Amino acid sequence: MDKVLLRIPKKSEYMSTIRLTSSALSNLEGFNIDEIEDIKVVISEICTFFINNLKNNSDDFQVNYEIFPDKLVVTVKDLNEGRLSGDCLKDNMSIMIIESLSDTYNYDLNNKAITFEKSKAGID
Amino acid sequence: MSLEIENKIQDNIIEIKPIGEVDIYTSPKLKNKIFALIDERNTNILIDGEGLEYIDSTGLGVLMSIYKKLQEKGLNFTIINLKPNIYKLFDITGLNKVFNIRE
Repeated sequence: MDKVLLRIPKKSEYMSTIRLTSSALSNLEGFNIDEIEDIKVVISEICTFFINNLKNNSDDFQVNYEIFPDKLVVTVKDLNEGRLSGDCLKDNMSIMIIESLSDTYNYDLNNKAITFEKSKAGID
Repeated sequence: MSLEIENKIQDNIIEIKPIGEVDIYTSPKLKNKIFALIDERNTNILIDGEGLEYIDSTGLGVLMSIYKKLQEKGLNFTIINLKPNIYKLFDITGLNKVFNIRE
């Protein structure tokens, strides 16, 4: 398993950089175009969720990519101080998209981290 | 990729063509541009998605606010030429049932 760590300012102007990095890594690992698009969208929505729900932004996002032969596991962590309540998961468009496009997902609100997995086509 | 916005003003409709990505960074630009056009012209809006490469939940929220503003004024909002990867997000969020989306 390869690991790639991206630490990047929590600022909306860096969202396209996060998407480009995610696309490049997914492409390198042989995901098809639809899967790459899903991975890009999910990571972007996780970051958008944190920007909208945890207002502190002096510290960074940390995006951890774990690359397995059959799947990609990504954890986005907001390194800023602050608290997230469970209510912010309700009726949230970012959450709807994250849950629809991921194979599995996990919200660790205490640690301000969201993890999702995406498997390659044809591999269970 | 940033966002460029082209617009074509006709008799009773303004055609808006966003080119690039509409996300949390660029969506205020789209909202401000379209809201200003609605206030200025008070006419129907058509969004041509041919050049739209990406939209996130923030961009979808902006489209929702445009839809509501037009509804309050009794004006029409239509979206055309969405790429399949973009339409997928309208489907997931149920907005394909709210907006008038045509090919």
